[in-house]
Amino acid sequence: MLAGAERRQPLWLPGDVALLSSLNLVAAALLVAAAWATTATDDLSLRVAWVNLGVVGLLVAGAGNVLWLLAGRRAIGERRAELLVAPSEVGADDDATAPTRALATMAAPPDRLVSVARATLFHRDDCPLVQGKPVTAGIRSRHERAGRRPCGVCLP
Amino acid sequence: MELMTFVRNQRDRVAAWLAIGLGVLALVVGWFGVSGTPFPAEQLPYVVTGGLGGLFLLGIGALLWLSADLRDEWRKLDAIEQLLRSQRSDAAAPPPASRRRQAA
Repeated sequence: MLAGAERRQPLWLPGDVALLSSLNLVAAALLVAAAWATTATDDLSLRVAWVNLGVVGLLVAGAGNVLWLLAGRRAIGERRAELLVAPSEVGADDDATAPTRALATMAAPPDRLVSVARATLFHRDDCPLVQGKPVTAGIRSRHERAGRRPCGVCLP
Repeated sequence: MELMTFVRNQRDRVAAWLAIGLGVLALVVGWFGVSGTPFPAEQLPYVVTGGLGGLFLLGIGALLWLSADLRDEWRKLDAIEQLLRSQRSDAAAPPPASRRRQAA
C-alpha cells in the first residue's frame, strides 16, 4: 500500500527558484538603475560609472542563470545515477549489445522515498507515519539537499 | 488551433524565443542609437539600454530554453522509473488463477 496522494518531486527545489528569482531581480534593478542614471547626468565619467553598474547587473544575472542550470544538471545526474547502475558493476558481458546491457543495468529501481510537505523527515513509501498523507516522492540525495533526515521508524 | 496547442505545450520554449527576439531587437536598436551620434556621452545610454539590456534578455532566453531541455530529461527519467517499478510489481504479483491450476 502506497502512501496517499503522491506527486513527483520537481526538478528544482524551492531554494533554487528563490535564488534564481532574487539574483535576476537584483540584476534587472541594477540594469534599470544604470539605464536611468546614464540619461540623468551629463558628466561622461559619471555615465561610465553607471555603465559599470549595469555590467555588474549583467554578471549577477549570469551567475544566477549558471547556478540554476548547474542545479538542474546535478539533480538529473544524481537521479540518473540512482536509476542506472554502471555496466561494470553488474558484470555486463563484453559481447552484449548496448540495449541488452542497458536493460541489465536497469533491473533494480531504488527504494521510493517520500516526504510530507514542510516536514523535516523522509520515509519509505510504506512507512506507517505517512500512510494516507499527501506526499512528494524523490531520491535520497534530493531529500537530503532539502534538509530532511531519514525517519527513525522505517529507516530509509 | 494547432498553434495554440503548441504554445500551451511548449510555453517555456515560446517564452525563450520571445526573450531572444526581444534581446536581438534591443541590440539592434542600441546599435542604431550608438551609430547615430559621434559623442561617447550620448552613446552610453544606448550601450546600457540596448547592449546590456539585450544581453540580459538573451541570457533569459537561453536559460528558458535550456531549462525546457532539462525538464524534458527529468520527465523521461520519470517515465523510466515508472516502467521499472511496474515491471518489479508485475514480477512480484502472484500468477493468475488459471495458470496456477495448470501448474498444479
